[in-house]
Amino acid sequence: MTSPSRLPPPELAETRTQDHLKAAFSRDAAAAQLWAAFGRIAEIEGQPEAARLFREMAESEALGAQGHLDLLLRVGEPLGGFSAGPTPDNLRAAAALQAEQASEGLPEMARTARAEGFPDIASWFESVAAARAVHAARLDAARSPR
Amino acid sequence: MSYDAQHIVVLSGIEAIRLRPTLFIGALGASGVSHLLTEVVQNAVDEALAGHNGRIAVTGAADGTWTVEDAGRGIPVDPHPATGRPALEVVVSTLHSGGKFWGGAYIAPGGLHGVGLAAVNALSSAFSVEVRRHGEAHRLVCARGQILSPCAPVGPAEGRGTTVSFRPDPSIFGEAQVDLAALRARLQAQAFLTPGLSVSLTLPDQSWSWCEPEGLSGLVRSHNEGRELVHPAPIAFSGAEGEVSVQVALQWTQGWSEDAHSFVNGIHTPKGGAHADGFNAALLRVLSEAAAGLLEEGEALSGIDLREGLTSALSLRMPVPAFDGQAKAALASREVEPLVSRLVEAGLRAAFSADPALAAAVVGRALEAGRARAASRRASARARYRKQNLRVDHAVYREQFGIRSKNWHQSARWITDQTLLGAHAALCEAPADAVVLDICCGSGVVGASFKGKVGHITGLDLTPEMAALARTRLDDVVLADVYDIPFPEGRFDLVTNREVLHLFPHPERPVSEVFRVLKPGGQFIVGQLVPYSAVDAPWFFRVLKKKQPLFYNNFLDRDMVRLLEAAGFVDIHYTEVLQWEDIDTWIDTWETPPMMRHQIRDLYHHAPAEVRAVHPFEIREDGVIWDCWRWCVFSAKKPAG
Repeated sequence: MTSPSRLPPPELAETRTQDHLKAAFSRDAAAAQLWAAFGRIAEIEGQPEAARLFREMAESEALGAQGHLDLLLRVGEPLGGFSAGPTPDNLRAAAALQAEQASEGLPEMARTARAEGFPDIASWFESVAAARAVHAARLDAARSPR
Repeated sequence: MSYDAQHIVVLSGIEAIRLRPTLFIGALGASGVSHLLTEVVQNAVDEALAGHNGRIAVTGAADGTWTVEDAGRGIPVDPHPATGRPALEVVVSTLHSGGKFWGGAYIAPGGLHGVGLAAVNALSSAFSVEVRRHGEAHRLVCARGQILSPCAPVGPAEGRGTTVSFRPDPSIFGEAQVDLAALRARLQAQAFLTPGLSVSLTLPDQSWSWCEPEGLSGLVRSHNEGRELVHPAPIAFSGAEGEVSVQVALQWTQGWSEDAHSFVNGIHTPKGGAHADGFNAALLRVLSEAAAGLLEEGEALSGIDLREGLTSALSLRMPVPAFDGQAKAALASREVEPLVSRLVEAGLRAAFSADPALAAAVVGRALEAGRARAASRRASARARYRKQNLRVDHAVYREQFGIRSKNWHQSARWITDQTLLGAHAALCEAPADAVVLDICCGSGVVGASFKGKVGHITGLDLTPEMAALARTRLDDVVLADVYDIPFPEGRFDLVTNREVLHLFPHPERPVSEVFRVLKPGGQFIVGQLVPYSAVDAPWFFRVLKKKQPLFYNNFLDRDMVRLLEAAGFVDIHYTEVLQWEDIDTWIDTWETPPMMRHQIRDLYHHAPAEVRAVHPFEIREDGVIWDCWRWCVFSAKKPAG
């Protein structure tokens, strides 16, 4: 009898499990930020017990997000599906992701915000887009051989 | 390569400190030098707290040498039983040595538990100690942690005490200067914390001395100088349980910001910690009871509203406190929190039961703050721009600027900054008889900066209180809305404006109105606070939006150029003005809720490295934040003919 561990592992790409890992990564990465923000609010409000709880949750949730990522990175980064792992690949993936956000994603969000009557939120998206464009340029510079 | 015992390096304490100074003193530069000085001063303070010292004299020499003299018991010079060397030599050359590890000599010391003098010695290019004990003076001389001249008697001495002199090593600290304002505040605080102790600071060109018999009440009074008060005298009380004791003084002002000063064994804890949390919890508990009958349905008293306008001083004494890190910014000893809370609660309860009207006034104020905040949130929502009718709710602007007009010129430095005003006037190309309009003129200082260069200056503002201020400076002022400027086309030679376009949901509209009322060839001069670049833009947005709910546009300089071009302006150019703003004053304002003030300070404390690299700001030792703001003052012309 062949031991099950000797079977080749199934391919993760394009499975529901990969989708679930991506969803869990996005959710836990976001939650870690959310708990950290809640923790600071509790601290300012003078509720140290709640602050500590939120801070500890933020740390653990960040660890969860990193764990999802460990598994996802076997088949590429989860935000745009670019191959990732070694630094040259990561620089290429990050440059593409940041450029897309700077030139398409965020400007589109800004247009929608303006159309819906939220000029301050539109200005926020535009500010972030401008900073992303700087990152894209830095990433390009980091990729090109000196 | 093998890895065995010969690779394990054993550093003496002194070498370890010199190799990794930040582990011991938190930071290099000016803050590191201050930390060394604090260490030495703290030893003198500990002698005072133990009841043996009535005087601390700090002297700064022109060459960077600091001398701290006290009238305490003097560091022992007799042979130390374990080493046979004079105790003084052990103290200045051995980490984790000193009189504060075991009970007996000190109950609640604030010094660094033995890292202290040895760390100062290790990090000083010249270091000496003179001890006066039992009628004899002893002297020890060191440099960079090494003893040059051992502890020896140098003759008879009058009185007793210790004098420590040190010059921070320039090869570690450069020529860093101590933040004098912060040092003065810290020394004065020591005098407040130990009533009867005289403290002096002498520099080559100036000197100060303090003796504060009133204690913490005096500290609160001194911080509240010039502030409008809710009650005439600070509330003060103290309490003790076992070896732990607290002293408290507090007083509410009509201001918006909280001004909290906390100390543990005489050490300032700028980030608070367990004792401050205990204090805040007790305050909320006691005043919630007083608020019981005053709350509307579904309303709760919030601690953060209670502390609005509160100036407080809290001093805790306890054996063996634990701090977050060597820099001691916050008290980590959680176990004292309930005890502090109990002691403060008892003190507050007694104070408020003696003066029930005061409790009612304080609670009423906090409830009012919460209600005003809820109303302002609703108002901000009302200000939401609706595309169809280009309307903004004027009441929102009138309310905010009506309130702010009461202390407009004191509410931030930029408003009357002469360099910034001068930069507007310097761009003026209008003829000497020019007719000028200053839109959203506020108190009229921008329009007034053109006086002598132009003929007639009209101001325009939406807020009656502001218009009243402007009438004292400008030729005439109209109450009107910049979305519909009440003047015919081509009326003015020059229109000016500063720091307003970012507050409009639809800035194109006022800019096109300005274009309309200008004569052909007329000039528009407009100043705007902008980020340094795209890199600090998101960070800057967050700071501005938390300060000002009506912040709608985070203009980069290129966005301002585009806005002007889109309205038809030509010949656009601008000058840049850098201006240091006092952020704590700037955010001490009605429209900025206390939570946002805390979060704004957080944004400075945790600014990303990329932001720090492009946007200069300083967080002083006493926590005060100064931001070097970048203004662009634009000049644009309406095409001639």
